[in-house]
Amino acid sequence: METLTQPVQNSMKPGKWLNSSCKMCIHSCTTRIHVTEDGVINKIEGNPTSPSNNGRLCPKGNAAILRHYDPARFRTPLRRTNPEKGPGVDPKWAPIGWDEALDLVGRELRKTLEEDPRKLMPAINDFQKLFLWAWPAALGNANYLSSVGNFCGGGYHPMNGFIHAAFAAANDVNYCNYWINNGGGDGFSSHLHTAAQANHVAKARVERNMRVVVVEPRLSIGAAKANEWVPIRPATDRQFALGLAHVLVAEKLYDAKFLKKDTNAPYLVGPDGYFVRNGEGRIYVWDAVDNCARLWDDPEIKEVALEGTYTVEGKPCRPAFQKFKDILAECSPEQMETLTTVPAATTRRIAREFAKAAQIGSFIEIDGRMLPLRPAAYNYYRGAQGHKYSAMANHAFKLVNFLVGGIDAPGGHVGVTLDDQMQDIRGGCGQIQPGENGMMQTMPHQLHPEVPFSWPPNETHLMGFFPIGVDPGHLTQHTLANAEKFGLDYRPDTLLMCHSNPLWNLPGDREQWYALLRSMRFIVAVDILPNESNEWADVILPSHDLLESWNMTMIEPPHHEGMCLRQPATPPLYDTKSEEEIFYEISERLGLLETWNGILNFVNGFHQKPELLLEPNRKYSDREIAERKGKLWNGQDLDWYVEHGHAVTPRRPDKWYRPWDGMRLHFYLEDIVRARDTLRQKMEAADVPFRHEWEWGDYQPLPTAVPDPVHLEPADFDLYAITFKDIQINFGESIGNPWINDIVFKDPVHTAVLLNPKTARERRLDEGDIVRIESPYGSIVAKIGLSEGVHPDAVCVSNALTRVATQNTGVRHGGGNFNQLLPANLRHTDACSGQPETVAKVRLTKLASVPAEIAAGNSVFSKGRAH
Amino acid sequence: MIASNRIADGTFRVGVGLQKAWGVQMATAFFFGEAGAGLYFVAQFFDFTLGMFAGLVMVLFGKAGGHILHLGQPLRGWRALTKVRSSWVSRGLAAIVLFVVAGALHLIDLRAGVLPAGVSQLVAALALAACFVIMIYQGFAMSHSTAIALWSGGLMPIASLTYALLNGVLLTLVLGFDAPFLAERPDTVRLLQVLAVALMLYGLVTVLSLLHGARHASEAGRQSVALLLQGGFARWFVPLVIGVGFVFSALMMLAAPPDFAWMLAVAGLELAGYYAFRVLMFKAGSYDPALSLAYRFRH
Amino acid sequence: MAKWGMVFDLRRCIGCNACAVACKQENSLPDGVFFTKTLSEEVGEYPDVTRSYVPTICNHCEDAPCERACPTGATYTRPDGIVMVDRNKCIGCGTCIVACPYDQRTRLEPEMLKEGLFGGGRMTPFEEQGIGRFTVGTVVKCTFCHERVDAGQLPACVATCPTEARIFGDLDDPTSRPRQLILERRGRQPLPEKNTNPRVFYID
Repeated sequence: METLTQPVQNSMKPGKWLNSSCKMCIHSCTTRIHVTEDGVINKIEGNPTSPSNNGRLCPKGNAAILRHYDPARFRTPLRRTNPEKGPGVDPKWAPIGWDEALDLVGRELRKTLEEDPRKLMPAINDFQKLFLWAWPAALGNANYLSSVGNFCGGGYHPMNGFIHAAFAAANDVNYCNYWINNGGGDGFSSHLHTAAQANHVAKARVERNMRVVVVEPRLSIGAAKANEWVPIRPATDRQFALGLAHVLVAEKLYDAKFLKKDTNAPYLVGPDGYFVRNGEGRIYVWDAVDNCARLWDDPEIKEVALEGTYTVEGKPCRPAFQKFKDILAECSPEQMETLTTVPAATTRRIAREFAKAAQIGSFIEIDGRMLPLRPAAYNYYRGAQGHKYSAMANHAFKLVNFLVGGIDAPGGHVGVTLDDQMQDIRGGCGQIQPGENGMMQTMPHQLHPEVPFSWPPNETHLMGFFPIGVDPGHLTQHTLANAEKFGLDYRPDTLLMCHSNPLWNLPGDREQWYALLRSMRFIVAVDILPNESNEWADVILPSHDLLESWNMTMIEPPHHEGMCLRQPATPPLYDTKSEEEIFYEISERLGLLETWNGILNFVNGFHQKPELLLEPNRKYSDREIAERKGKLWNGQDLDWYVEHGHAVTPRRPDKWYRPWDGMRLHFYLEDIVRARDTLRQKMEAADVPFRHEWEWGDYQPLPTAVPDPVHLEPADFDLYAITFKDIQINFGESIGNPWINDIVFKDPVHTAVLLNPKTARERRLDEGDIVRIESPYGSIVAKIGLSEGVHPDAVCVSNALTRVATQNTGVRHGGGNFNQLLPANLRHTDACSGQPETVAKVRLTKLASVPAEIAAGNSVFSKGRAH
Repeated sequence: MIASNRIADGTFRVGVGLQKAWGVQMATAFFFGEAGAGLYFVAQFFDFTLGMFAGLVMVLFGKAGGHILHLGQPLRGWRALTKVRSSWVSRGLAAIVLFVVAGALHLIDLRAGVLPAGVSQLVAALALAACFVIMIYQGFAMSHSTAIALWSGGLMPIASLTYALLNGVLLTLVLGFDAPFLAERPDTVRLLQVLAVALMLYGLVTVLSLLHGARHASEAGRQSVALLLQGGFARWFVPLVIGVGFVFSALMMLAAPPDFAWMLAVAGLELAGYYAFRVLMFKAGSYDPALSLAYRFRH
Repeated sequence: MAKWGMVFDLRRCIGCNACAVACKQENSLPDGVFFTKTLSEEVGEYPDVTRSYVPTICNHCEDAPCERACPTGATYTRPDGIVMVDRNKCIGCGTCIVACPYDQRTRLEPEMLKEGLFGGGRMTPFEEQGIGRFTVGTVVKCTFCHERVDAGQLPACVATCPTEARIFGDLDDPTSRPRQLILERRGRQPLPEKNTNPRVFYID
């Protein structure tokens, strides 16, 4: 028998449990952390008291300990001593003291700001301390080198703001019975509190027999668990959705009552794309019974028309619904099949099943409120929406939900707020506000307030030219390479990164990004581990990790709300500081302390409870900020949170379901037409030279089936490369963590680039062959793995294979960064939303062997232990 | 291909897993076990002390030594004696101990005549019995494992016994070439040669039957046999185990002139084939997937 | 006395291997060593193709071939059915490894305990506090988190599984969740033809 008296299992050893929350992805599942009597963290589990993740954690959450104890962590502030900069070039860090480092950063930033504040590019991407994103506002600077948000959700977030006045959206797992997932891992492998969502979705699947249909080029986890996988050619998801909409409309499988009462679908649209208004600006509808035009809120209206062609105020016009129906005339499943390759019969069947499952006309009483029950919903994310015509794509998916009356209905497709603390901005749940003519006010700016138009542009990524989008950070490369054309009369020379890895995240040619970073006079990075970008830094300011710091957040939870505490489980292992402290110190050195406190009060919502307001000239710790955020949520102090860990509850039904009741939703997006025309006027007035080549066609009030330009690349690029993540590598830096490496590099979908066997045979390629994957914009190298779970037109590159040389020797390098296959230019950027195309047309060329520079070092191609 | 390659090879795929626990060290120990015990067994019939001594040494150093090298915790190797009632490995070790002690005593007794007659016969019988256990238990230790279809068909002990006897006969022919019991008795030589050929044929059929059974036992068995006959191990298995070990050595034995070099060559070829058999049986041993949909669909 | 067992719900499992990592965390497993892992299998031909995820673990067989094969008695079965290895008795002969039809046992080779999770022989404090439970050259495997179970808790893999695809409980209790699931959804044991009578069942 075992003779040891001491326990051998980590969680059973003498020690204590602390409540905290996870930050291995951007979301905030609640955890409990076991610390031994010697102060070593030896187990992290989900906190079973949270109804969100129900005590569950994903593999990444389970691997947090090894991030904490990673020997590659930055241990002190560091100063670069090697003047040569380049990918994989050793910066030859020299440790320096905090005072020296902060003084140096303060001095350099001050120099830049005195020359021209626009020369500073901030890249601040900590999603759990969203208030840091507002720090550049203290400088009056919006010249972000954004490396998050727009790649996955450039069109997604603004469209959620248009439709739900929210940051994200989810299918309502509480009641949904027919779940379409298109190009998104929600409920299976990624996005929106993955472990929590997978938990709730599995229950719905198994205990309620919720049917799942997954539309994707690759047999993802979701597709593998689905009742039906619908393989689709990459970058044709919008056309699939329009095919569904065609069937729903043609076969009258839509919720006419919802469209008439709760949306602007009956509003009459004139030939200019604007609603037809009277002299006072009030919008007309058509009364189908009395056969006359009436103002939308005329109590005399007997029955509004959704269809028909009329003349009102001397203008030919149609209801917005009719406009969509006209578009759909060209979107039959048969017509769409030529693009999507989805058999028309499949599309028709799914549309009918979807409509039937939606139970149009049914109701449910929740908390004494009678609500339409629509247990069928169409969810989508990055893969489906990450295309040139992203706004249109997003809108098309929403319209499928519109047609069955499922927007924000129980069982339907529901808006998800980003951080419920920020009631006045950024999609807080208090944000539902009435707009004009009975419509809800659209809220397309979900990450920061609108950046005003300027010429010459104050922002190198041209955010002022994207009045309804997310910062298109990738355009920085394009505009700086063509500085004269884009009227840039300054050149950014300073980069401030905080938990940001733009060199990995941004599309476009790597060499150009390298050139951009080489041209920087000064780069400072706040970070924990070395990565592709911070190895270019001149100064590293090391921050605490998630097990050493305080925070309070609940970030983008689909079905729950309430603050989650993060607290230090150990004192900092090294000479690190919290982000709060670092930004306070820098602010003080720049003379911005008062401004920064003012901004913090605003973005954290402290002004809602004046006793929480930060004093202008004090520096606050992470603990003090966290305590205030907790108090703001439920009035409880930090001791309460330390004891309970979180204040998580299911979302309140009144905020979750139809919080806009009594207002009309935007079936038709007149705001997009208005944004286009306003921008055009500004560009005309400023005589912007490139206004004629601006992609004006991207601004559509209703989506059409026009193919994305990626389909128009030269014919010899005959395949479509896509990239994907699964739950083990969901969101950001996972590769390099030994436990994640241990499971990821044994998974066949993450160890080779996947190709359909038939496609391979046609090209005389076989399992294990080394190929160059080449797009019109760049190339990478890959080893082929054959899989029947791949659309014949697709080349599927796991995100695990996209890391490139860094100073972190734990990170295994793939065959190059997938993103360099993608263009970073205006032609492939949605002018409406800033979304770049995320699919590349490629061709494959067989290589004799892995090129030496790629096989070198810690490559995934090398044999044996590599981490 | 993800879908068609059924050898999982350490990846997280459902498939056939190759066993890695027993490798070359164990194969070497097994080799010396069945070579040494076989030699002793045959030699004792002729009171051929050199052969008996050599067999004893092979078992003591080759087999026991190989096992000790293989063990993760060799210093507690004695513990393996404690489960004779259920474990074939334990029984084997007991047999080794008994064999070494009784065999050594018997050899000493043969030389010096130190034991009383009754005891002497008992010791000789004990040594022979223990020797016989060593000649078969390795096969039982392998076929007792239902985990590995290649091993579990039931023919493994017969293969062990056949190989052990064959090894014994051939090594006796070599080591005893100049000894009186052979040098002076050509009919004995002839008998042993015929016995060798018979054992080779018997061994060939046993090994082929073993493969045949494994191939139809389960998916893992099929993959193991495919590895041996067509896959990565075929270039060793077919020429060495089948070709050199049985067919070629049998033909050579049939045509053998009374020549030491010739005997040595035949024994060398057969032992090479046998060693390859021992190594490759381990290398190709594989586990069935705990649960496989694809296999069920296909069959 | 309870007889512990586990049910894997194949409809729930998403193959994320949170179980595998939670286990490594709880049990301080060296790199490349797993007490449980979830495998995947592609089935069918495009477009009629799917992928199944199959969790695997020591089945704590009622008739455990590893225990029978073990020459030292290091492998033994507790009264509650958990099959254990006594590291003080194990000689690392590997007989149990080739006797286990489920390939669930690993011998700890010297480099596994020396290399460290980050390589190069550097040990983190986490590893230092945990690695002492292992003896080089001995065989290790899943213990159903026996200490957690003794304390009334769930095994680490069960506790963390995002989709609740692992259901743990007393197989002798007809009212337990696993027993009910086995009955309702016709649970089957892995490789029943091996006659090991596993205490792990799959339902789909």
